Amino acid sequence: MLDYGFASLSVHMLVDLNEPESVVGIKAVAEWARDQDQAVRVWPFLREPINTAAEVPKGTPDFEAYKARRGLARRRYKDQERRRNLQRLSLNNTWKFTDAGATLVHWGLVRLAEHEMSATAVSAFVLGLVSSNKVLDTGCVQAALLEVMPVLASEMRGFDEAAAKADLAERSLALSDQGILSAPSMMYQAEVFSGIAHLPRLTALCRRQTPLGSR
Amino acid sequence: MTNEQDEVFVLSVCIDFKSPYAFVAHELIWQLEVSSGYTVNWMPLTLNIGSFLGRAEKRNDGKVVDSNRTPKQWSVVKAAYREARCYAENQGRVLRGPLKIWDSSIAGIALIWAQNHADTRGHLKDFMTDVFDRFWQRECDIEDIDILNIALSNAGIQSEGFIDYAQGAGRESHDILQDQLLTQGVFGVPSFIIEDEVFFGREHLDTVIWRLNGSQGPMPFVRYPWQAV
Repeated sequence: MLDYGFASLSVHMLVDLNEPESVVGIKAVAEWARDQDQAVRVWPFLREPINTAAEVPKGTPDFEAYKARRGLARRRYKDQERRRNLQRLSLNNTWKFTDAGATLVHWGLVRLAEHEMSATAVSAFVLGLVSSNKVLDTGCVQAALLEVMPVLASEMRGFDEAAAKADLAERSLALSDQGILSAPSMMYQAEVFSGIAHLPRLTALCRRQTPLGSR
Repeated sequence: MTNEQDEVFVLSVCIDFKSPYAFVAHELIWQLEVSSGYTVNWMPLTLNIGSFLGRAEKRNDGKVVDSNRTPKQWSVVKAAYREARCYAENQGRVLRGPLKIWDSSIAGIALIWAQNHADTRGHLKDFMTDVFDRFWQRECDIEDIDILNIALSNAGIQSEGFIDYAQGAGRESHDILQDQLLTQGVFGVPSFIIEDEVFFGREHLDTVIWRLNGSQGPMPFVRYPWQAV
């Protein structure tokens, strides 16, 4: 298992910035972290969404017809939820990263997490980026990263897209092995929380397990 | 029920007694009915779990005796139960994983019947709570029409005529409803329906209330209520 230095008293959030749900998650978790005075690190997690239905063996025509209709209903629902998430971000349209832009921004997330950047600062960085209504290529991602953390300039000069992509894939695979199924998710003391809706429970856990004065 | 703009909303909630997510949500939804003043229209959505998570059957000791599930499907199922059990325990409820995938359609038909025949909302709640709690303690066979008949009666709901209904008009209503719900985009439980909008999961309760109350201010984030109920 790879060791990413996941501090045990921090909450670790796993995100995919291609998806509005993850960006809403960063916003929500950043507000929560500030209110709770809780350390949160934001890391990338880039895996294909799980589609368990696709792995079900083929059945009778009726069974297959049901699967198809349910799949359609699920996709319709996902669209509704995506629109709601955009509304939560006060955006009308979703953003789009170029392939290279997506690799760079997730590479950047790793660097920000390693520099222990707060969730509040990461949230401001991400929201600023996705609100620009542009196709997000390496140029605008690089500018945004340098604005939030100028010391990244030297690291970015040696940025190797292929190596970064391989590293992100390896990290995501390792996280899958630790039980992360999808983004956004959270980890706290090796326990996995799928989605951001567990924040109330996480509040209770963090309060119980964090010694007074150590946060 | 109307909001400040005098729009009339109906809140429909789809559940399935065999869903652990519906189990840990139902008390919260009853609380929403009391606190918001909106009367919930409960509807059964009978999930075909085998169609999206594969099938599995276990012995009493938990050993799997029949399954076509992939490792990924098992990991999703196990994570879902781990999570739901945690929330159930926090509510003081027992959640024991079922040993097979149940056909909950008769229980769904009983829900339709109970909603139409309960004299009070309390009777309906008693019926639902009883079936949910006993099913998740592995003490209620929800495929047994006689057991559901007794559950209706125990909750103070007229049960005379239920068995005929379940085998005739009730079955027909249930099947038509499944078709309509799928067409509407409902694919899981609990789901909340307000006009044409669907919210899947109890994490949307705040957003549902926000929508019912006229969508004033920013849309809430999703969250699973954690305070024990």
